[in-house]
Amino acid sequence: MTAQILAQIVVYATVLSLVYILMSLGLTLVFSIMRMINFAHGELYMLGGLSVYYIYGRLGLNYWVGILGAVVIMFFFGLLLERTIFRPLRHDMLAACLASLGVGMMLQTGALLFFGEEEKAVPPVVTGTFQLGNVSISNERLLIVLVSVAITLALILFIKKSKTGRVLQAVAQNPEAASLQGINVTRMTAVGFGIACALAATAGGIIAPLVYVSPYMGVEPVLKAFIVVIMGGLGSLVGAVIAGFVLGFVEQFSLTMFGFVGHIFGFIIIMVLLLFRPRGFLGKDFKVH
Amino acid sequence: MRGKMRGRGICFSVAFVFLAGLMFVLFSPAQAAEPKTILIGDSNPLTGGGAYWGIGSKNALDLAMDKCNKAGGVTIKGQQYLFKIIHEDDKYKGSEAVKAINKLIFTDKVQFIVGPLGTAAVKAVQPITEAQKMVMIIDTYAGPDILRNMNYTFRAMVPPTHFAPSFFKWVKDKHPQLKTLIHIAANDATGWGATNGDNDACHALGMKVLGSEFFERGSTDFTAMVTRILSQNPDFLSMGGSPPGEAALLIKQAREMGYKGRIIHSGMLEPSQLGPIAGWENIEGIIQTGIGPEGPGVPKAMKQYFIDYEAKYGNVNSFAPYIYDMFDILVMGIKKANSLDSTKVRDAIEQMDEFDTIWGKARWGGKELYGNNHQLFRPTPVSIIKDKKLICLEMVTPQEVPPPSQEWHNRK
Repeated sequence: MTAQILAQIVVYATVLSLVYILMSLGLTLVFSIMRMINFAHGELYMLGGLSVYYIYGRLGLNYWVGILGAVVIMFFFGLLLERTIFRPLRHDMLAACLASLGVGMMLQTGALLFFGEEEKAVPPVVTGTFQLGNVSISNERLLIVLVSVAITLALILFIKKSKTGRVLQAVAQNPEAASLQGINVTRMTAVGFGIACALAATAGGIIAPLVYVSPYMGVEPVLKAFIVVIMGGLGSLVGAVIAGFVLGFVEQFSLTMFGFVGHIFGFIIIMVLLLFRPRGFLGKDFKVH
Repeated sequence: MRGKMRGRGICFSVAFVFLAGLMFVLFSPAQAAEPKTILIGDSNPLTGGGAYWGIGSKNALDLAMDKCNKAGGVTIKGQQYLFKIIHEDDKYKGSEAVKAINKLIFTDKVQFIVGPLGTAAVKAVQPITEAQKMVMIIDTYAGPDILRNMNYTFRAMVPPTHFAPSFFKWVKDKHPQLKTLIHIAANDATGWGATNGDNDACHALGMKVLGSEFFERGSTDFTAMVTRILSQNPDFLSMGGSPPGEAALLIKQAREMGYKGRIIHSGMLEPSQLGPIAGWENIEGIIQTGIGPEGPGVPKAMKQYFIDYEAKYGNVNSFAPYIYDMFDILVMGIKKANSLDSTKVRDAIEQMDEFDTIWGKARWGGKELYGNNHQLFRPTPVSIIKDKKLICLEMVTPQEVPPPSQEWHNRK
């Protein structure tokens, strides 16, 4: 393996890892607060991409207005979903997971009916490539790197430092105790779910110009996001960051070395990890509220 | 005597009434004027990943049917027949195709079938259509064994096994500097078929196949694959068997990561599908076998076909021409058989001499490879994407006997 190939693998593995992390943030947040695996996460990601496609690609508004629009729309959509579907099921984790599967199917079918099945291109936000030594990387990917790092850091800071973030942590750690402290657990759960939906939409909107948008665009990424979340430890944001890097680097190395069969290495790692450390890298025991 | 006379009179009257009735039945103008309907079933993807191809197929078949019905349909043994096509959506899946074909055969009672276009879908429905002795004209791109031991299945699409040798010979003659390649395709029957056909052809022409890469349909990140490709730096990327969405992302990422070589696709890539995703500047110069209305190589009948299609549907679908002739072939077979009996129609199609299509002269062949003459051979276009348009440069003739297969997709 030459130094150039190695450099290429490292650069693109970093980009891939950050994409995985970006996609798994919302999923992690939902689990930490609601103890629920949101199977509709891929479809929320897809709706974020579609929102950006229509606001930026079709209406011609600024790209960041498109992202903001997707965030706002999906935040309120998340509140609606939480109130109508997930709140009544909050004491039954299995039922809530199954309901999220149904929501995902409905959203995908709805997108097919309203937006059509064909792949839609989102115009590039930035063009050109950046030369990093011998490695050529598109400015679009660099933008994703910057935005992913910014969003991940902002979310971790928000959760750790802000008042709302600390309240969300309290709800995640022990809702009964949080309630006894005067926290409106129901409202904060709804807010947490809304933020998670907005994060999914942000990921979809950020990645959309790099790929294309279609009703099926969330199917493959959400699988990788599940691996990251489970590997990192359900509900752990920092764990998701570590797992994102592990999966991204393992995949990029194995795919470059062994071709498409390299995909199995990600699954092998998660199986081995779960055998020896079932909670993932930074996961904790949890009880279903 | 009187009784005998009366008996003769009754016999005469009965004979007269019978004769009159017979003449009325035989020469009644009402009977000759009432055309009957021949039902044709069409199973193609109208939704999902293959919808662009399926909708083009549906439109092309309707266009051909309307033209035929306007010309009076067909007359079989003195009876006029008009055609009606029942379209079913198989979603490009085997299981859905089985549902569609069962409905068409057993509920709608269709007499002939056109489609499906997916290899998996065809393989799934063949046990039903062959058992029912249903003449089925398919349009699959891959699947070398899809015609073997099949009595009622005909393929109107020329697969890469047959056209790749002529297509890549054209590439070699016009671009002799292209000597090494890496083939990239979807990891399924269609992708393997294209990989084998293309690589066999290139190998036989003395080009060096450096490797074959596969990806899962729906993949969006090809950076690892491109890193592998860049390390070998082939003269061209051969992308037959890569669907448009994935092909567009692959081209975009390969160009961004610094790949400067040529891109060749032995299938059809519609520029309007490719350009917005891959970037228009990245798709310039791609050589492929799609066809549009422009270019010196477009046959006259094809140009007229594009005019008719655009007049009816208001757009151009590059896949539709591949399907348009299927209806006409079926009609020619019915006319030649002068019957609706499927076995007689099958025999008539098999015995058709060289005939005209919108692509030029066509004929049935393939006995040496498939054991029957159920494979259509017609000219294949060589086109290039130039100024965002597909320009047909030339038509090449496919080869009936392909070079020996090296089974590239099974190589480790």
